Amino acid sequence: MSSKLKRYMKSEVDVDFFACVHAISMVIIFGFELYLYGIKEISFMIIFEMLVLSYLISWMQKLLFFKEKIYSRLEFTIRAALWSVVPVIATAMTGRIFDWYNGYPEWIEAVFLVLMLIYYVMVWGVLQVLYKDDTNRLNQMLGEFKISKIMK
Amino acid sequence: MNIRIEYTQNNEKEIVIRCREEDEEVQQIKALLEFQYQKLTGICDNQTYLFRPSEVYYFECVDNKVFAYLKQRVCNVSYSLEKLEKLLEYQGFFRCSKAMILNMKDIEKFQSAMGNRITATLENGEEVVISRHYAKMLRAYLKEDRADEQ
Repeated sequence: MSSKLKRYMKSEVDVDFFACVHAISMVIIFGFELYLYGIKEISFMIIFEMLVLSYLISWMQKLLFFKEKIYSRLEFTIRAALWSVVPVIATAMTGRIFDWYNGYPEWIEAVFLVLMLIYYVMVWGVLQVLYKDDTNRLNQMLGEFKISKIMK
Repeated sequence: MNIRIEYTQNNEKEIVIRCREEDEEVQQIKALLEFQYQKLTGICDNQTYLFRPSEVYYFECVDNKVFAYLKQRVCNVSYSLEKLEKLLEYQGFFRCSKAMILNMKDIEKFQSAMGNRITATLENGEEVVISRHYAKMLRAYLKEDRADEQ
């Protein structure tokens, strides 16, 4: 199997995982908001559109950090901001195109988008905590490795 | 394992390893002893230099030529990366990409990055991205070393 295909397949697995997490979160946030408003159902089409949108968002997020290179602090900050903001813009556009908020007051859409933004920022934050934890573990192993080599 | 020194009248020093079989530990000892006295040759500014592997930050293959990045200079070496990888297996060198072998002792720190990659910062401040594939091997390499110690 070519290395490009392997790389794509590994990326696809990552993307699928995040797509599922995003889709479940999107449906729950939207559904809970509507539930509080007094509506107890979401149409299958909206759920399906959210799933497809989450898959596309997940790929977009993957592509933002796809290149194997060192990102400058500025570039990293911009990409990190896009990682959270672009999905919200995409959600807003998709919602308008597929009429998710038909018959609801305007604040339903606004609250939903704000909650989605908070959600993406939180996911980003959690990922950074995990990477920091992994960095500490790696550096601890590096320290132990160096000591073992000096001892030898 | 016993370490014994025998004194003789001969001027030439000799190291003999007595073992039942040449296992990994013996190979490691052999490589360490060879490494202590081993020098590599490289060409820099049309001059031939002799240097110890420990002086090298990393080896990199660019356009089918292998370069050794030393503390002060960059030398073109005649060894292939595969040969260097084998030669320096027990000396703390790690193949971190298709085109690069890193001296792990000269890595200042690691940083875990998006996409399961690792960024290694060398003592000279240079940064190297270790791809997901090699990052996995690096983790295994470091864990293996840790397990050996325990």
